[in-house]
Amino acid sequence: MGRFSDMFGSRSVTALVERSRRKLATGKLDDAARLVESGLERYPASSGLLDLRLSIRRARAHKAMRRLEQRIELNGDPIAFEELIRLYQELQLPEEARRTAETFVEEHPQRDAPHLILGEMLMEVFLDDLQARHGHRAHEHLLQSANLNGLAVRPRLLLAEFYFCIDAKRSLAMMHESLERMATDTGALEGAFAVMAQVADSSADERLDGLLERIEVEGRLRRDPSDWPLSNRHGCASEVREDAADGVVRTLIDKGTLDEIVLLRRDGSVVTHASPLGIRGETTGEAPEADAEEYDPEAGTLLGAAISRPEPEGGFVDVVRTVSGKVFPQAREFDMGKLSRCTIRSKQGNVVVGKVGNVVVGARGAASGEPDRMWERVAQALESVTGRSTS
Amino acid sequence: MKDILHQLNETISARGSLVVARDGMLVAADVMDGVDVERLSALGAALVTEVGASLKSAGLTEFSHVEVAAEHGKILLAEAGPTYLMVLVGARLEIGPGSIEIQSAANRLARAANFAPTE
Repeated sequence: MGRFSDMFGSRSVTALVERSRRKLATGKLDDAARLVESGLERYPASSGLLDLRLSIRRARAHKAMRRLEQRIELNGDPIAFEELIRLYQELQLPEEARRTAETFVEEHPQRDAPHLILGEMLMEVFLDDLQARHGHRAHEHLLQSANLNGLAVRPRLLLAEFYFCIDAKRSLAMMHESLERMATDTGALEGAFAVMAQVADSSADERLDGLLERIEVEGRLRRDPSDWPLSNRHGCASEVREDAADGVVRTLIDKGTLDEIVLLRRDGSVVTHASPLGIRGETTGEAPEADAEEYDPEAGTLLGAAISRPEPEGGFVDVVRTVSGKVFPQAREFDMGKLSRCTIRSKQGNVVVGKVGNVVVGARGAASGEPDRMWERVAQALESVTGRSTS
Repeated sequence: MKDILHQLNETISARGSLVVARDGMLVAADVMDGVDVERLSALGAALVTEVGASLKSAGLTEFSHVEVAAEHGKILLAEAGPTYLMVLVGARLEIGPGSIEIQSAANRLARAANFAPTE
């Protein structure tokens, strides 16, 4: 049938959207989904149909959520708990997922699964915010899960990863031994065993409390989670490739998106710092390198694309350090979940400080600009140089 | 001042709010159970004094708004005459330091602060 007849046969995209919407409104989700999917085969770029597909998915998820919640209310069904947590995670509702996992643990303290699920969630939180209390709780639940199921490899692998990141050498040695005893498929764990053998030390004198406290104070893990061979963590494992970061910040400045940008490592050292005056990396105090003829020694500035190596002191770098080192740790005390960013507006300009991958980014733009849009552009540009560590 | 803070908390369902002087001293607070007022005022002091000083050294002398956003809440700081109003809001509340309720409370606080007796 041609397009003309489609329109009059209620098969135009508008008619399809309208019919699907009516089905959705009356709760006939399967019928609505069928119409939308067949419509998308004919009109794959229709924004109306794509929006409806999303609405149908959400409606289905909510329906499933209600069903699972009822099952939990009725008899505390552990499978319903697990499915509901997974659903929350899929819908990117981490707070609901965590709350449900906490309830799961409360209702089934003698099962290993709830401790494993909650322990892994808390470990993710710890690897991101480095708060000792989250580390303790993650450890406690993972250990409990391992104790309740003496044959389970997963909680032990997570514990090994945890010990690896915080440099608990003796605990890692014990976990290595335990995993070697129980693992049947040693091939899959070969990389992890090699790393454990290299790092673990059964004679090390260590206290977990002390290690976690030190990490919280120093604001950095002893080892990057991306160096753990089985790691698939994204947020904390992703790294901004420092060699490529200079190019990105240069482009952002050249395009006039920003007035100034600073990238800091977790310990506060500078990855790169750029303004229309030039780009400065870290830390050796050497004279500017790259295009020497572009360096104006009298003005002490770099014209265009040169890179120099003095550690910048004061100024905007300090603003970013103060926000990431003082404000963010204190703000975490208020249980607001993962921090996204800090926005400061002043008559002289706007500042946004946030995290992209493993670096803290501070961007400064004009007072007349919109800080959220500025941040979106910065984050998007930096994500292009964010990848897994190759070390 | 406490009345203004209380009203603001009621209106926008905030977890707490407080007034911080420009030297970081806590002037007034109204917080819900479970919110540690000392920690909140310490954060307010850090924002006003330490961040303020570093902004000054970067040539950003007059900051009017600060927003620390997280997944399930925000900490907002708005200029209120000679003081700053700080608000802790909970989840799913689409409110910023420039919103009408915050600005209105900040204006009232500014008036209250200006009329406060000085030593």
